[in-house]
Amino acid sequence: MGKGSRRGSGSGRRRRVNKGRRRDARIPLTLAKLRRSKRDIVVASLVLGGCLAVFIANRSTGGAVAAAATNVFRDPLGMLDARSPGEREAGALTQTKERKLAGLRSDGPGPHERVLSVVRDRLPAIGLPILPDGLPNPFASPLALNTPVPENLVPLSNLTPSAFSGAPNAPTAAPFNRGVLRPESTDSLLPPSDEDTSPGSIGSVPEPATWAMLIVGFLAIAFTMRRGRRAAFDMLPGADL
Amino acid sequence: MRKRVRLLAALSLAVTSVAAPAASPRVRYPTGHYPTLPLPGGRAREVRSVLDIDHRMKFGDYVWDERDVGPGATWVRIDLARQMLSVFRGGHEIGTAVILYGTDGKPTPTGLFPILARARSHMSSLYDAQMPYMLRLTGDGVAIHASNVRRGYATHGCIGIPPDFARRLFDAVHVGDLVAIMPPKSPKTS
Repeated sequence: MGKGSRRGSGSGRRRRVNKGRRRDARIPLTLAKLRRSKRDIVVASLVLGGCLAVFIANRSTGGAVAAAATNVFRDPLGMLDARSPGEREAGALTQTKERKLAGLRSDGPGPHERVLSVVRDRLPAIGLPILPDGLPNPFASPLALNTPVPENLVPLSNLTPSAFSGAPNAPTAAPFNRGVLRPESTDSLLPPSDEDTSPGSIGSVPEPATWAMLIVGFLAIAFTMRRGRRAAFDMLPGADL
Repeated sequence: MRKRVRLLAALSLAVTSVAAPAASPRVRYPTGHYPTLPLPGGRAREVRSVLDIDHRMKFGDYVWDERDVGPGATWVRIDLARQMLSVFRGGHEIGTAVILYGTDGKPTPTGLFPILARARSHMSSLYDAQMPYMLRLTGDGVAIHASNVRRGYATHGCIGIPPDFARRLFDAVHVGDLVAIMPPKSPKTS
């Protein structure tokens, strides 16, 4: 019982105390609320005022005031660093010629060709007949070869170096094994040398003699190799067994 | 109440940020506090404003903005170490581009050079190559000219810049204007 009464009296005290606290707390709570709202208003007005000041300053001076305040610390070299793609490595492999394909792609679709900038006009090759207009081209197709050649045209097969001998200052034909045309006047000054070669002296298909030489050479190599191997085999110990 | 205040603050900030020079492409320095950019030979030049580029530029990139920049002395600063070219008029930067420069075997000369000659379409007699918008710097043929600016490429001593930028630069400068070429950084000793 004693415990119960103590408990009862204790709870009553607490209630009283709590009620008192609530009563006391009501006033500071409202005060705090008021203070907080005042503080908020002050902060808001400061922020608004600051923004307005910045806005007005920017409008009147073209943004120089706000920008200048922050730009004092921005080093121009640092800004160059920030935008730079970086330093080129010492000894870096670099290309100095433009890629042809890349250049062509930039020109757009379609066939392209790149030619030398200097164009030289060249006379037609000696010996090739110039066809008059209205005549069929004998080189157009294999069938056209059967067509009769007009009399005023000289067929290619008949064109030998002797054909030019009648012309004034015409070069005389050198022997065919050299295939070099030399002017008559300088013939004595320029003795024929073995280094002289011309496209006419080299055939595209090897001669039978060349083939024979090649085969003989390979046979000789094979023979020596075979002989060497045999000799080595004979040198081995116990080869007689 | 707090929410309202926050909202108000956010709104005001948004208003000021829209009206403020956020879109301004250049960083202006306050009068009397102009910084300087170093030039060859220990010299320096005053800079009044610099283009505000907040990203790293790539090969072939350029920026040109001469709005609100009046007439004045034009000069060009080429930074080989940074691979950048900047054009200034009256102390304000009006253009910048990534450049190509000479290989290690044929290096670009450094120093101060006045522009000797201008040619809208020039054919190099040394290399048999087109050099549009050529600005000659030296007597032996080193020039600033339009070229295909790409990573991994180099020149035979000239300064290569993107063609569109080259056209603008060609129209902006005159014979006699100064071009400063800063040296590349010294090769690392290993």
